[in-house]
Amino acid sequence: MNPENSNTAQDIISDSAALLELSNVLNASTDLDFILGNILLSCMGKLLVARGVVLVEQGERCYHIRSMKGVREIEMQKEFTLETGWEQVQHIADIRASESAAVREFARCCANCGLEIVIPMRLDERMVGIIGLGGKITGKEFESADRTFLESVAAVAATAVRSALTIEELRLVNRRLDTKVQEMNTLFETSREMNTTFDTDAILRIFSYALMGQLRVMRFAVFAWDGVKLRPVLVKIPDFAVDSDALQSLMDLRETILFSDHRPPENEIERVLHDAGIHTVVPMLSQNQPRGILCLGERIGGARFESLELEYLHALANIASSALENARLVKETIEKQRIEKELSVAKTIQKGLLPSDIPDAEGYEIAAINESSQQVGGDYYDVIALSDHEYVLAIGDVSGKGIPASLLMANVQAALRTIAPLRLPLPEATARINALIHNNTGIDKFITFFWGILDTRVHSFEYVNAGHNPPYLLHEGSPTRALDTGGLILGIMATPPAYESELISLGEGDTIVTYTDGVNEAMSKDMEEFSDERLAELIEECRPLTAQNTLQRIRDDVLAFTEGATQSDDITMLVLRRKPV
Amino acid sequence: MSEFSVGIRQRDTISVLDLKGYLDAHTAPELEKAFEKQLDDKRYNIVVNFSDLSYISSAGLGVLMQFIEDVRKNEGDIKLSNMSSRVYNVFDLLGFPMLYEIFNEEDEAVKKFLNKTENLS
Repeated sequence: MNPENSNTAQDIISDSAALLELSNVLNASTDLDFILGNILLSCMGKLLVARGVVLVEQGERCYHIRSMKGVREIEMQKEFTLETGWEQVQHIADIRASESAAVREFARCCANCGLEIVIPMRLDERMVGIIGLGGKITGKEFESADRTFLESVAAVAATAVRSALTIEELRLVNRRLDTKVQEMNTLFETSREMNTTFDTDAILRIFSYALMGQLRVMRFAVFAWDGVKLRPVLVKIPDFAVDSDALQSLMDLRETILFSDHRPPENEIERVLHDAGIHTVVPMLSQNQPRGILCLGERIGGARFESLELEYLHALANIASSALENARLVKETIEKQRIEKELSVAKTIQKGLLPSDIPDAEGYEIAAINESSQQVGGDYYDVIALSDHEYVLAIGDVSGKGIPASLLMANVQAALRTIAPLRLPLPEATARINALIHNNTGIDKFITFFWGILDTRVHSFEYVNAGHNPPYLLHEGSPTRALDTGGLILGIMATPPAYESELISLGEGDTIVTYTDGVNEAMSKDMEEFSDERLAELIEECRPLTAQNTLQRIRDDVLAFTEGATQSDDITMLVLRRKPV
Repeated sequence: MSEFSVGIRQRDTISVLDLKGYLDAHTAPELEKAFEKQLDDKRYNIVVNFSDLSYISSAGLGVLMQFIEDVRKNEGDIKLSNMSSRVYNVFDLLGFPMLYEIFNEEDEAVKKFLNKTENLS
C-alpha cells in the first residue's frame, strides 16, 4: 500500500464520525433544501472547497439544479437530461470527452462555473442526484481518501434525498388534489347558484366571483348572444371600447386563445383585443353551441394558466354560458306570455266596448262586424238610440295596439256617449269629443272617427268625418260616392279648424258602408293590399243586397283575398241601409 | 340554508370586519355590502377577522379581489387575520398569500396599520 494514499486511523474515525452525524441530520429532515444545503456544507467544510452545487432528479433522468453555494455567476442551465450516470466521482476534465453530447454540455457548464469534480448520488442502481464541487482552496488535488469520503457522503445523502423527493412529490400531488377538489367545489357551487336563478345580473355576479376569486382575474368582459347578436353583458375593463359586432367573427372559436410570444394575435380582431389588454379569449358554449365570448385581462400575480386551470376555466365559461342562455330563454318565454296575456285583456276590453245589441231602427237595417286581429287593433263602432227615431252611428280607429289602444277606445266611447245626448250641432259636438280626447291622451295618440245621426222619420243622415277612411254611399241613380266631409282626426290638436258636417237624404235601398283600414289594407299572402279600388268595385256590386248580406259579401271577399294570412289590423264594418218597400 | 354574517367594528382608524359562518357564492353579496359601506364611508384601512368563519369558497375571495384595487388606490389595505387552517388552505391553493398580508392575530394586523400611520406623521 502506498503510504501517501492511505488513510490514517485517525482520519477514518474522524470521517466516520462526520458521516454518522451527517446521516443523523439528513435523515431527521424531510426538507429537501435543508438536506442539500447540509450535504454541500459538509463536503465543502471537510475538503476546503469554496463552491458547490447539487442537482436532483425530477422526472426521468432529468436533473435540476436545486442547491448552490459559492457559485455566483451561474452559467448553468436549469436542467440537464443525462442518459447515463456515473458510478464514481468524476473529474470534469474526464467527462468533457464523453460520447454523449448532453454530458459534454453538462461538463462545459460545470467547468464554466468553476466546478472540478462531480459525485453521483446513487440508490438502487439509479442516480438520484449529482453533487458538483469546485477545487480545493489550498490548490491541492482531491486524493483518493477524499473521493472515498465523498462517495460515502453521496451514499448517505442519496437515501435522504430520495425520501425527501418522494415526500415533496407527495406534497405536490396532494396539493394538486386539493386544488382539484377546490375547483370542483367552486364549479359545483357556481353551477348550483347559477341554476337557482334566472336573473342575469345574479348569474354574472357569481361568474365574476369565480373569475376573481378562483382565477385571480380582475379585468374581464363577457359578451353573450341574445338570439340576434353578441352584446356586452358585463365589462370590468376601464375604457374597453371593443365593438361587439367586431367580435362576431370569434363566435366560431372552439379553443381558448392564450396570447403569448408563441401565439401572437393572428387577425384584426385578435390584435384589437390584444391591444386592449386581453390575454385570454375563451369561447362560451352552451350544449356545444357558441353562446358568447369571455375576454380576460392579465391575472393578478402574472402567472399563466396551467392546463388544469384551463380545464376549470372552460367548465366555468360553459356553466355560465348555459345559465345565461337559460335565463334568456326564460325571459323570452315570460315576455311572450305577458304579451299574450295583454292581448287577451285588450280583446276583452274591446269586446266589452262594442254594443252587444244593435237597436232596431224602423225601416232600416243596421249590421256590424268586428274581427280582431292577432294584435288587437283598436277598432271601434257604436250604435246608440237617442230617441225612437234618432240613432247615432259611429266607427273609429284608435292609434296603437293592445291594451293602450283599447283604453283609448274606452275614452272615445265615454266621450261619445256623454256628448251625443246633448243634441249639439254635429260639428260642435265633434269639436268637444276632440277636446276631451286631446286632454286625456298624449299627442302620440289619435283617432280617426266617423259618426252621424240617422233620423228615421225624415230619412236624413248627418255626419262628420274626422279623418276616417271615407265610407261609401250607394244612392239610387247615382254613382258610389265617398263621405268625406268633416275635419282633422281626433286628439292631435286642442282646437282644430272647425269641423264641417254634411246632411244627406236616404232614399229607399240606399246604403252606407263604413269600415276601418283593416278592410282596404288587408294583406294577401303575397303582401298585396286589398286596396280602395277593389273595395269600391265590390261595394258597387252590393247595391241590391241587405245590410247583413253586404257585410257578409265584403267579409268573404276579403277573407278569400287574404287566404288566411295573419292580419295586423282588425276588420271592422258598420253598414246602414234603408229598406226598400 | 347556509348562514353568514358580517360584524363591523372600528378600532382607531381601522375597520374590522368579523366574518361568521359560511361564505360562498350565495352569501358573498353580504360581504360585498359590508365592503361597499366601508368604501362609501371612506374607510380604507380594513382588517378582516376570519376567526368565526367556518368555510370560504372562491366567491368569498372574489369579493376581496373586487375591492382591493380601490382600497389600495386610496392608500389603504385589506389585511386578513385569524384564519383556521381550513380557510387558509383555500387562500393558499388559490395563490392569495402573495396578494394579501395574512396575520395570525388581528392585533398584529391593526398594529401594522397603526405603525404605518405613525411613520407617515
